[in-house]
Amino acid sequence: MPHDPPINHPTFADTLGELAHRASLGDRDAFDQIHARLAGGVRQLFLKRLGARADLADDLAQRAFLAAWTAISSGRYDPTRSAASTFIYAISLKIWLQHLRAEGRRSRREGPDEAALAAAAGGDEVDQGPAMAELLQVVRDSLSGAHEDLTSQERQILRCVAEGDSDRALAKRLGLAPSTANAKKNAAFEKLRRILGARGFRADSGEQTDTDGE
Amino acid sequence: MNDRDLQALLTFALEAEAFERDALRPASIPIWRRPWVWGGLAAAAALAIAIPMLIPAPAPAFDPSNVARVQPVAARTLSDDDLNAIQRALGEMLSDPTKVEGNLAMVIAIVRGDQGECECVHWRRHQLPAGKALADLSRNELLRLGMQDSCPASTDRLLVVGVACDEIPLDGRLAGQLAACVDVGETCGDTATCYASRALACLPDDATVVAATLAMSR
Repeated sequence: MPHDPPINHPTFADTLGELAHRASLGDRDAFDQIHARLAGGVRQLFLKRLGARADLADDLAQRAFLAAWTAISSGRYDPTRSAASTFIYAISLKIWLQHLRAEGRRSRREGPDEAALAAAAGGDEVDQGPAMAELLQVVRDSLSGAHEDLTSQERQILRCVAEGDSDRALAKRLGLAPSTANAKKNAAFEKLRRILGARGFRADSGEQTDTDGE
Repeated sequence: MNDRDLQALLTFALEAEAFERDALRPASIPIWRRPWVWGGLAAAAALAIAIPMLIPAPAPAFDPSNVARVQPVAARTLSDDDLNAIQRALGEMLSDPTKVEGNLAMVIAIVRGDQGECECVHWRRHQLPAGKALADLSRNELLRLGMQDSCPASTDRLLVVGVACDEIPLDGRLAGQLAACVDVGETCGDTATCYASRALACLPDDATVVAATLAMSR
């Protein structure tokens, strides 16, 4: 077997952020590395929604990465505005929403409220994946406290809501009266809407406005 | 954006968090296949439908420890129905460019941690370019193929083995068996030919094996 000099190839040590940056500059090897790291997770996302239909999960995962590469290679993904994982996740969700539409099953609620997200994300058009990734990234950053826009209690409330807590469950978890918990939840929602608005997303639709809020 | 939309957005933001967390966590499943190969597996499934029509008894499963004892299965005379079934299966395969064609090889990547333990085994089928044999692959090409699936666990050394063989199916079962054949501790060190000869010992005579190793620690 021929033996060539050692190669300078992206290795497992590269972070997703570095790989995303290189991929956004057209580095196909970097994108392959992102694929290698996230393909299993994307497949699991689809499997979770599909049950045991592994072939379909594989097919949707493949479509998601194809769409991701299309978005990256056409310059529509900005790694400074959303993490690679959020971007791939957002594209995968778009593919899933598209699949539901094709199957005519959007009205069926399976797991998280896909239809509500479709409305929030401005539909299931895959080419809107990067915008949706930015929207999700703002929410993720807010929940993690990266922007310090929300208090720790507000972040906790929003996480509880995301996990499906009712007002009563929320009140129990926070040790508050249900009416107080509800008021705090509404206040946290309003603050999150303002955060989204300040970063260029219309709070009524979730689509990005023409003016850049950054 | 009403409260329900916002709640959905929050739910998906949390799911994206979990997705990222899982992606960065060491894999617990030792072997998995890449999405790209599903078309190949679909073709294999198509053949699996056609083959039982040709062979009355299932062929013995490949077992590297008793390759010499595997006997060829006698084919019976084909009926018109059998021939039609073959023609349909082949026609379906040839009409879909994503399905498997000849000149196929399998690449197995074995990732070891810093204690020499096997962290992950990945495998993939690789369609060799027309006119190119497995032995023509350079070390770099082989390593590139092996690196396309990553193992997020502690990675110290990568061993990539390429196999071409017409007699046996290039599938996950074979990958697992070959991983066991070649991955027997540190005795081979970084000597790729040592691993290749171990793999060959577990394969039929017509098999071609190439191997390459790479130290990943920095």
